[in-house]
Amino acid sequence: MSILLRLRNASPIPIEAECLSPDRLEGLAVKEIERLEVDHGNERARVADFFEVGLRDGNEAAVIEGDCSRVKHIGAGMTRGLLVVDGNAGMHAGAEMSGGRLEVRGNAGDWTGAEMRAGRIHIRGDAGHLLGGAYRGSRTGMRGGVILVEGSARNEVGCSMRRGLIAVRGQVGDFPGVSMHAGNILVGGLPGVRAGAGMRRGSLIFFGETPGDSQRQVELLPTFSYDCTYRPPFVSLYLKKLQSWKLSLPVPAGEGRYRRYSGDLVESGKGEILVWQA
Amino acid sequence: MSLLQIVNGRVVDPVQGLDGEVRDVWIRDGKIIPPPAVPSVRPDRVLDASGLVVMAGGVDMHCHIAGPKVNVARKMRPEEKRRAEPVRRTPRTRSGTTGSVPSTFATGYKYTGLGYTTAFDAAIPPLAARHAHEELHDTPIIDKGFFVLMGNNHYVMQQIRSGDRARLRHYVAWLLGAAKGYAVKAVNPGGVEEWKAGHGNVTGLDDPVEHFGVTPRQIIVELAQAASDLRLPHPLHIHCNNLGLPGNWKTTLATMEALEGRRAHLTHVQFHSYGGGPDDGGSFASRVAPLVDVVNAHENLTVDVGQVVFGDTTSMTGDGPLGYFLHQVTGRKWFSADTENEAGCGIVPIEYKDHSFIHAMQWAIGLEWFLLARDPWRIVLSTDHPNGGTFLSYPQIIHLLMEPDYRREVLQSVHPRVMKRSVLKDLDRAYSLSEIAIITRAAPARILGLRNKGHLGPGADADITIYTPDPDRTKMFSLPRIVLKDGEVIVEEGQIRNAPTGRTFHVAPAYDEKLVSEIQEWFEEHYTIQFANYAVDEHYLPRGECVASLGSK
Ligand SMILES: [Zn+2]
Repeated sequence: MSILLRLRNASPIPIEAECLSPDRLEGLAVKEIERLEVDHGNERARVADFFEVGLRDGNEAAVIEGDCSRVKHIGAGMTRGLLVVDGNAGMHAGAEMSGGRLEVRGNAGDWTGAEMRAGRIHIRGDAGHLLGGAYRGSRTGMRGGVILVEGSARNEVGCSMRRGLIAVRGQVGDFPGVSMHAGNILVGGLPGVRAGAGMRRGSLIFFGETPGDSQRQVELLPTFSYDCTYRPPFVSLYLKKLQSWKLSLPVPAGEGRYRRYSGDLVESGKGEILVWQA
Repeated sequence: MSLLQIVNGRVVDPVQGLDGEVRDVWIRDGKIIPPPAVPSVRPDRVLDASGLVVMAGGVDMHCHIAGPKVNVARKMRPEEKRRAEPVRRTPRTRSGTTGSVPSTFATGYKYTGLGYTTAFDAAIPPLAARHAHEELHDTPIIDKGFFVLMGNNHYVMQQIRSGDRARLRHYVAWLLGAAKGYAVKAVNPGGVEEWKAGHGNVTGLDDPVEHFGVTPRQIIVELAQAASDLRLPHPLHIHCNNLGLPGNWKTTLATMEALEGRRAHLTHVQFHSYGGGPDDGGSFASRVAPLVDVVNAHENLTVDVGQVVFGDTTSMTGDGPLGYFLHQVTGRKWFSADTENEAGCGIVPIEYKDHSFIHAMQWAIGLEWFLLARDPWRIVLSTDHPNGGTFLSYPQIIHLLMEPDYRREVLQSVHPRVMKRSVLKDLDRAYSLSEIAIITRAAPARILGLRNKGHLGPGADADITIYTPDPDRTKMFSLPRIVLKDGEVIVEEGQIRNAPTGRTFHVAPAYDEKLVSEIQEWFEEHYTIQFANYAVDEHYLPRGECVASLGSK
């Protein structure tokens, strides 16, 4: 049996529901879940004020159904188990999680997986800004784990990331990998401007160039310098791993070559951007 | 006319020579009064302090709790605020944030909760005085005030260059009054302007401050002289040149000598007592011994320690080049500001780590100061909050001073080379309760010239902290049983019962009115604001209290 929460009262006022994580829900009876506290704007409310709680067949630990784009902190801080959002998830989903799996079947809001340490987030739709990013003022964003996005993601993907893997099948916005310390970001589409600005280490890999199409080229900052064109073996290993997680980037594993740039030269210059060319 | 009697407490009041004797304390209208001569007098209320320790409220003479730099530090550290336990709203108190730089209301509550009832911000540029007063307005319960930055003030330096002592004195008096400040502060005298102009920091007392044609030595001597001539309740408060740099003890020694007997307070002296070479962290060493000898032998000098406490905090200083230095050393984010004609500012987060040789040495050097200073009346407990650590760590420092076994235990756990480079391992001194009362209230009150603070004699403000004795000194001093402010019970077992507005202390020394038009002329040529908008008027001090010059009634 799995727990099912169905959103019945969507509210234009955000609901902050850190309690919606496997750690908190596990072992609770339906009545107990209904009584869990959430913040509704500046007021305290209960899960039952917005969700219909029940049980259903299935082996997922917990399923949240409905357009939860205004429900924040779903799965934030989770350490284990499986949580599925069958719909959209609001901001901060899976933020600071350190284990388990979060699946979002719709779109996810800003700060999804922010400062996460371990575990895996799979977003079937699009992700917002600061995917796996650092909260304002923090020195480190994502510290480990995996984030997979089948759609696109917006600005500052992996901001100040220190370890882990982010893979986005579609486009990403401006500043992907900004100030990253380490880790890997793979992007099936093209990035916006200023990819890798301030990065110290780590790899940003873009697969979305179309040969001969001047509109579909990766545009880099002048503080990234071209090194060589080659085939780094680790990329195909990552691509195979992504396939095992059911995320395929639009590139045949093991084919093609990559232009390598090192940067950001205003920092240590030890980071790299790889651009795949068929 | 309500009369309160605190009965059977063990009173620790070094001013009255009481060291735990059981005494009653009588309070009328917020002031301590002598016990009534007639035994038939009945108090309106009795507080039973049997078995408890009764002291005056604590006095923090050097901290950073108001003004633009504090506010920037709050904004600059959301990552710290996010994890720090917030102060929740109650029917009597407001909510707030904590961390190393608590919000204003939380600052008032937390100080009082700790049994501290008076605190002075140590570095306000006059241009920011209005802002500082507005924040102090929102810092409840405690009495407070601030020191006015003058060590890099352009007008000050111009008068020193032209050798016009009288004009300097009048300007200092006028500026203190305009800012509604309490004392004269010099931060890295001359060095901040030198650095702001792009010439690098000064390295010693006789380096020229270019463009102004003065030296740090002249600034120190002339400001100390002006404060003395004005008979200010607190003498010149000096943050010496070269803070934090290996080998800076020579500058500190030279500063002590340059004063030639003039009264002065050297602040966070721990940060100024380092041996070693400038480019060689391995040679970093303690030079407390030669400095403490000078302080021991010279009654005109007082110090507060600026103890370092292990953990994460925020460094904030009027010493612009120091902020830059810390940013270079730590690689952490950095805020720098230039207050036109007046001052600088640097803010950098910093984490003191017990396994870092330098940090562990700084910790040991602070403790050496406490343990080697002979006269507790001339040394004050401080962390330079939040620079060395927050004021919430004072109980832990008291614990280290009172319990040599605990101190040795911590010493064993820090970077091993400290054993070789510091004499701390050989110091067996244990502070008594009475000595703790001196360095946390009696001495700072006396050094500040606050006659009604720091003791429980007749006429004193009834700011009283009542502790439950406990061999675990951290516990004892972290959570007083009861705290009274102006005779009113404010805190019981950590719960804030009431949050009245505290006093703001300031001074208003006399000056020659005829010079104001000249100051105005200069001002309007150099400042970006109107002269009329500069001085802070009394409305900004809801409970202002002007402290008279020394020697006057
Ligand atoms: Zn200070």
